[in-house]
Amino acid sequence: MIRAQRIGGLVAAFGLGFLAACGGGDASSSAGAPSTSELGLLIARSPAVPEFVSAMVDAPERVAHGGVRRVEYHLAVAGVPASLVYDERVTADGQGRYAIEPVAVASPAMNVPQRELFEELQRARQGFFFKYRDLRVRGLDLFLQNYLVQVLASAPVIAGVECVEIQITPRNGPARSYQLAIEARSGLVLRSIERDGGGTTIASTTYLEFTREPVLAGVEFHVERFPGTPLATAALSAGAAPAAPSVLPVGYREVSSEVVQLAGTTYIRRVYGDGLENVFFLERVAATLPTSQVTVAVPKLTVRMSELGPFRIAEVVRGGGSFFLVGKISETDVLEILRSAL
Amino acid sequence: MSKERHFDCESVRFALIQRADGPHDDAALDAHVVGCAVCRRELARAELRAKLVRSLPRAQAPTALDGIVVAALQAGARQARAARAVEDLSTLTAPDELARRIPGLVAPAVLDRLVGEDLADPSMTFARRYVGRLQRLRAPTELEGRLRRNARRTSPLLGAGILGGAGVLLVAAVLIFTYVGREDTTTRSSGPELVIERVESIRDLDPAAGLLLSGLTGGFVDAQRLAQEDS
Repeated sequence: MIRAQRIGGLVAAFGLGFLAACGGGDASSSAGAPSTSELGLLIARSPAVPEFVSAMVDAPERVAHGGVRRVEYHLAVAGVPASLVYDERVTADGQGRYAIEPVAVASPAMNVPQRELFEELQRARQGFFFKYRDLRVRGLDLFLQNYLVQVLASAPVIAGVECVEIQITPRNGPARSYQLAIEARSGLVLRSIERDGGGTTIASTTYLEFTREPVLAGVEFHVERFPGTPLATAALSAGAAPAAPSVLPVGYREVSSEVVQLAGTTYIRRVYGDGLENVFFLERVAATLPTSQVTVAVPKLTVRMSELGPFRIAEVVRGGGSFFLVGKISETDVLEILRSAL
Repeated sequence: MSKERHFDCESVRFALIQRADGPHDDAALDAHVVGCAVCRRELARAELRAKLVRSLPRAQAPTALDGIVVAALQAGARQARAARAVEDLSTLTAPDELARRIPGLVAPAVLDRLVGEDLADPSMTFARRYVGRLQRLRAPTELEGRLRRNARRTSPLLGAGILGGAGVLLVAAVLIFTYVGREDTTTRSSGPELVIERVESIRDLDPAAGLLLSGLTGGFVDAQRLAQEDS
């Protein structure tokens, strides 16, 4: 079933009353996931959104914090389960500056040169981690529109901090759930667990040490090395017509459109979000970007498609440029987005 | 003679990267690095990165790539030649000698008429040609028998009507078979036709796509790749 629709067709923000009317699905019980009896208040049914949920939106930038956290990914590569487990140190000054420094890799086994290279790669992408990898609420209205949020009866203590715990399930998307332990007074997520439809853990991040008073002296805060230019103000060749999807999965909206220069290559990066997850659409711009006057319709294009856990990644080459799409979306959605853009 | 230069931490970054790659001669840069702890760390990092990159095993491009590149270049050259030829056509004039030898060079009237009809109603032209390509199906013998029996029982005029109806049904069946029975892995809609090619390894995709996916999975793709290189 195709779950894509025209942009603009779903922009209307739903109020909490509407959420109450269509909410109410019990979370399915599964291995490791909380059982139905553990589920408590359904946020969509309450008269107002709890403050800690609202605070989650900008807590990582707004609240000074630091600590060591364990990051885990358990994904299948070509059908074979594989894991990545490592610790990283996070420092944020509460003024928008932050740093994520690798500490140790537990799995897979790496020799010293491999580990050094891996750590360099991790340092290089710390900005991407902070903005896109870490599970966080990215837009409250959209988040509540697209996800059911239930407060669990549990009150886990993470790195010495008592937390409130919520379970999040997509209203429209694939069967998947997220369990977040949140420091209520700040809105910081101290533990996040993402599970697939069968209840198996796909990814998790857990603070092992945590403080609200981090030592900032000597911290090398992240500096954006490849800042993008908003597409609207970017200098493109006259008449250039970058590809833009006109069909998005249900619940997604455009978050940003930027021109980014990487290693001498120009990319147009469009990010779409549903309040929690993101879909990336990248166009590697040919030396001469097609213009609306000379673009020639290509009757058949090959989509090179791959999967990694919940992610689907697709690549299409057209003319001198190429297009990439990455996100936790269905294959049908991938094709609909690409077809609407090409 | 060395020229006095001023560095700040932002502008020194690229100079450090260059310095990490080999010998240098820039006293002002040295002076800045000596006095700036942040830039010293940055230099150490840059040197480490350069060392790591130098230590990477040299990978051989697949031999098939040569053929693909050559084919792509040739295809590009062919396209360029064709485009130039089409452009040239519009500026060409027939030589005088040709005009003298073939006076009144015109297309045959029938060709002129056919082209005129095609241009007058392109969709009809397309439909006519497409029908000709449809697979011919034979009606079940049972249907033929029923038609014959009905034709005997009814007047010739009614029989002709039934036969006509059956013909319409037959054409509809052919059309349905043609459109519905051809399901494959391609997708159809108003956009371009997309054909899916399954890719087993992320490494077979563009490096930029792999980097993006690795970022979204906390470095998973890179970690697996590095670990596999060891094995």
